[in-house]
Amino acid sequence: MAADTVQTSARGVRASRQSRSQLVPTYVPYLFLIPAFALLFVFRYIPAGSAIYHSFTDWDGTSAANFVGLQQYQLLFKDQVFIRSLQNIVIYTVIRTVLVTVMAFIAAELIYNLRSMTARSFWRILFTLPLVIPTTIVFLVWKQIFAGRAGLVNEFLKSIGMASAVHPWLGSPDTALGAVILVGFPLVSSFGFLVLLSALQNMPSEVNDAALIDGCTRLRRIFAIDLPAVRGPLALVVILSINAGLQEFAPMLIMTNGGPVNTTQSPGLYLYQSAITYGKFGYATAIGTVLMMLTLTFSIVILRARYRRAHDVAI
Amino acid sequence: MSQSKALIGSTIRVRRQAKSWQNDVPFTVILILLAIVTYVPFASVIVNSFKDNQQFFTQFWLPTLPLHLENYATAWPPIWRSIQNTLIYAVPTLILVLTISGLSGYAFARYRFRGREVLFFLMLILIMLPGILLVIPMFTLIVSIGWINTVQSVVLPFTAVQISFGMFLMRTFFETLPTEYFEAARLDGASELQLFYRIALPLAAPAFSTLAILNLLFVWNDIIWPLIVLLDSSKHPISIGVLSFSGQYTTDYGPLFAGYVLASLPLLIVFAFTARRFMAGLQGGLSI
Amino acid sequence: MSISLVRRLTLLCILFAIVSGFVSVTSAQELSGELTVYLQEYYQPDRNPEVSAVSEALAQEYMDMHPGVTITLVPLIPAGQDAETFLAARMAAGESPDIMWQQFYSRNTRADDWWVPLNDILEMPNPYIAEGTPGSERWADSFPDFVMGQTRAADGNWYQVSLDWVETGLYYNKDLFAQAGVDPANWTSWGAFVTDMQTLKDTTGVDPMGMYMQQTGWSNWVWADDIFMTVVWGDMADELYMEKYNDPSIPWRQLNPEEIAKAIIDGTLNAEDPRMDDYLRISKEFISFFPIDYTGITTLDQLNTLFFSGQVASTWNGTWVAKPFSNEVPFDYGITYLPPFTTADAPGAQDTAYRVGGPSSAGQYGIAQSAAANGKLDLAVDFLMFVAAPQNFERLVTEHGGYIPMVAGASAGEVMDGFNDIAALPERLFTDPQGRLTLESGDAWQAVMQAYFLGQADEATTKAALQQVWLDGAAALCAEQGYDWCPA
Repeated sequence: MAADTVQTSARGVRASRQSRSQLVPTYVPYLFLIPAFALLFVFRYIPAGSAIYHSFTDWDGTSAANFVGLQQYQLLFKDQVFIRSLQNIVIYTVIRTVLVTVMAFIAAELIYNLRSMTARSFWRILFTLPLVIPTTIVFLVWKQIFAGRAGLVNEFLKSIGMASAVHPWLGSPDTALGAVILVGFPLVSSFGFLVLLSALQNMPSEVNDAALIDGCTRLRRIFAIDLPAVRGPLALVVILSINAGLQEFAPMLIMTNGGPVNTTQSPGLYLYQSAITYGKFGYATAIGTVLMMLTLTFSIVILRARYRRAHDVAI
Repeated sequence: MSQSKALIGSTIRVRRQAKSWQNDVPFTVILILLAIVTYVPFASVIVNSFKDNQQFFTQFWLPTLPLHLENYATAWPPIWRSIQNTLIYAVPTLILVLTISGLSGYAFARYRFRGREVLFFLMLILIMLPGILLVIPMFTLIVSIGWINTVQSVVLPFTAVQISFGMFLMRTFFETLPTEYFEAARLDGASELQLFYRIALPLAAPAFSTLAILNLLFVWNDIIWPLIVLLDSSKHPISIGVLSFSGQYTTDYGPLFAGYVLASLPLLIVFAFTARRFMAGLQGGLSI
Repeated sequence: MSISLVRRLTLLCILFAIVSGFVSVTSAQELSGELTVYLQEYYQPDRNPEVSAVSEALAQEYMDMHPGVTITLVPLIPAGQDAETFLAARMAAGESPDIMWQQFYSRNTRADDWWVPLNDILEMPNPYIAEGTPGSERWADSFPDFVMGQTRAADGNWYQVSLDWVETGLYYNKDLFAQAGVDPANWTSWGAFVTDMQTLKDTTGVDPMGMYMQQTGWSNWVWADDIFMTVVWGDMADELYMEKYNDPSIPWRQLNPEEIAKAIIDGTLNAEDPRMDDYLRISKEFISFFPIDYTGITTLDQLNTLFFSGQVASTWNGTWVAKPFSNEVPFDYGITYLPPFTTADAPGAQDTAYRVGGPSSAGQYGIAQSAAANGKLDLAVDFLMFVAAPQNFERLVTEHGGYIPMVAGASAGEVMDGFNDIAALPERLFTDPQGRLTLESGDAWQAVMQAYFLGQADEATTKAALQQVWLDGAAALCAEQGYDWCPA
């Protein structure tokens, strides 16, 4: 019985279609979905529709909105600040996603390979706790870590005798974006870490044993067995990371406000500034719509890549 | 020869497996290094929470004496008030999110119906909406309904934001449940709803724990929406309450940092008690 | 016959006067309703209970005077983007506090969308100001001319009353200065100042000036920018002034955005003018004394970290830190200022220093349009006049200790210590970039200057870019305000 359960609990539903259609009225699933979609309709779809509509107007938030067609979008694609913000956010998202995923995987592997259960629990909890700290204060401290004088990085460089490497990390156009990307270093403590760790722990132990018998080295095992096995969770982590990365604006807002010379400007931050500071809501919603399209495209690309070689998923 | 030895007793094999890939030491060393670097910001927050402004400005990184324990006393009243407020928003949100995600995730997982993938996709793309984009239209909507400054003006939008991911999580989880349980109950004459809350829900406890904690984290951190929709500052949740000590031009940094430490404690306690459940919820293997 | 008619008429008049007297008294007492008031830093119960107690006392006194009225005070939202979000959302839904604060230059954009024009109200008498004190017959008299001048919006209206003021000064570390042998008393010209700063840097190894510069939004660098622009264009002031803003009693005053826009469109103000070479040179000299990551700092408090730990020799900050600094700075410090500029420094200089003082304080209050729409205008005006009376406002200001009261008859107290000389200097011709034309053009100006300072553009490119910013800003302002001289 246990073995059967293991088989049927693979991805995908193996429904006994014949018996089901005899007993279950077809409207039932829709009933289950009504509360969700009612709520989503009112609080997500309608505002989203309103926002997209307003991207075709010159709304300033208070007075009436006049329809202006594609004008906002035309302005947007001629706007050097916006173009720059797109470049920045793509760089930010790609590098950060890679870093977060790789670090999460490394940390998960490190812990997974410990032999003692208590040690595993200990490290797992230790790296999960930082998630409870409000992000605002984390950014404030990181601002101080990167500070020119009295910053931790520069003080550290001076103390190991590399005073010539002292640099205004957040103040220089060359390094500002890099500094923002590295906030949260070593980027271990993340939701992705937990997902990957539990995915690894979810692997059947027989596989490990078989590998061991066959004389597999640990490194080989990681690449040959672990990675393919966690492909699904890995794709999830990547998509969530990309999704969050493309919309990011809080670290830029708190640490650099988009500067210097737009090197850390992000579309999310630009949206925020356009709407709140300048009162250009029409323009801001256009930015938001473009951002949404971008996120959608990235996610679809990843999903396609994921499912192209998928053997373990029945859609 | 070695093969037959390996075949003797699975338990012995497990222990031997552990021993042959032994030597945790290098791993532990790396983990220690990672942990130290990870915890530097948090150590800094705690260290700074005991300073007055003079100590804070003169020496940011190292602890200073005397320790100003009174910062915590100063920070406590507004923090406590906002924590209470946050619970008023968090509990209904949690209940709603868990129920609705459960219902919908279950429907997506266990039934095949027309438009299933389309609806799922429609729900999934909501995760890709930049939240900041929707704030003003949603605010205008709330005002026109007349719900400004109420509990539901916070709870319902929070729920709406969370259920996309929640549905996804629950669907993944429910897919792992064997159909035999449901078939048997169905043959015994149970209604669909009874199948849901008699069988699926109890089994879903681990996944609910995970979702609940993620939900709590979100409610704890969201600043912008409550700031806009709650007109009375006496109703402000913790995400805004921690900012009580920033002024227009000057800030009391000691109480500010103390406030952040106090704000993290409830989550820490919740995490400590539910860590195992949280991990169990991910045990089904979260994936796409 | 006619006598008895006259007598009857007189009786009627007397009766009428008595009745109307009653009516006016009772109607004044009949003010009723609910008012929400945002006093900004004067009401922050968690952080500053002493000042908040004064605010509450004032509100209570008012409510005792007017039994039908309920005043609700709204606590401070931390400044910065969150406060802007708070306000933007509320104004969008007509749910703003009735009496509300906003940074003065933001009102140029928002104007009568959000705020009630106060021009006529300022002409009214303020019943709470004692007779004999300026303001009792005409409220506007209660405020100094330069305050009225600086807070006038780009469309010529007043949308706020500025009850208090901010002066700025250079707080400097006396020990470090003494170590380098530098004495601010010797700063008789910009050249002398530059030499001394260089000496300071070479001798002590610390950065002389604690300043920062942001690409978007305010930083204390903008104060320097204001002064440098003033120095370079100072001799053209009379040509830049427009008659409608002139007041014979104040020959030297700050430019209104309309004047700047018109001068740009007429070509009088041109960023490619050779005098801008001086501006760029002086600006770049000044930047060389800043900390290395001045473009990476985003708040004034970060400068405090450098100042307190002795890593910068001075910091340009405002009166709002006078009280905290006196309690917190661990060394002997003084307050000085940027030196006067002579013609040797720039041909247009007027042989004087300028002060940067402004209304960007807690007491800049406007009345929201939503209040007027809800019929609360009279109540709001009355309460605002009550708070603005010197005997009342003085209590708030003294307790807070960070701002200078601008209401005639209110005494400043300790906050002015060290700033009296500075307050006597003439004011700057140009306000902060964000207030010169539009918010956006101000940020665009800063972005161009930042690129210049970081070595990404040379002088010629920068001047051309600045001129473009000016032209775009002037055009945008014209589009917003529709001045009658604007080109079609």
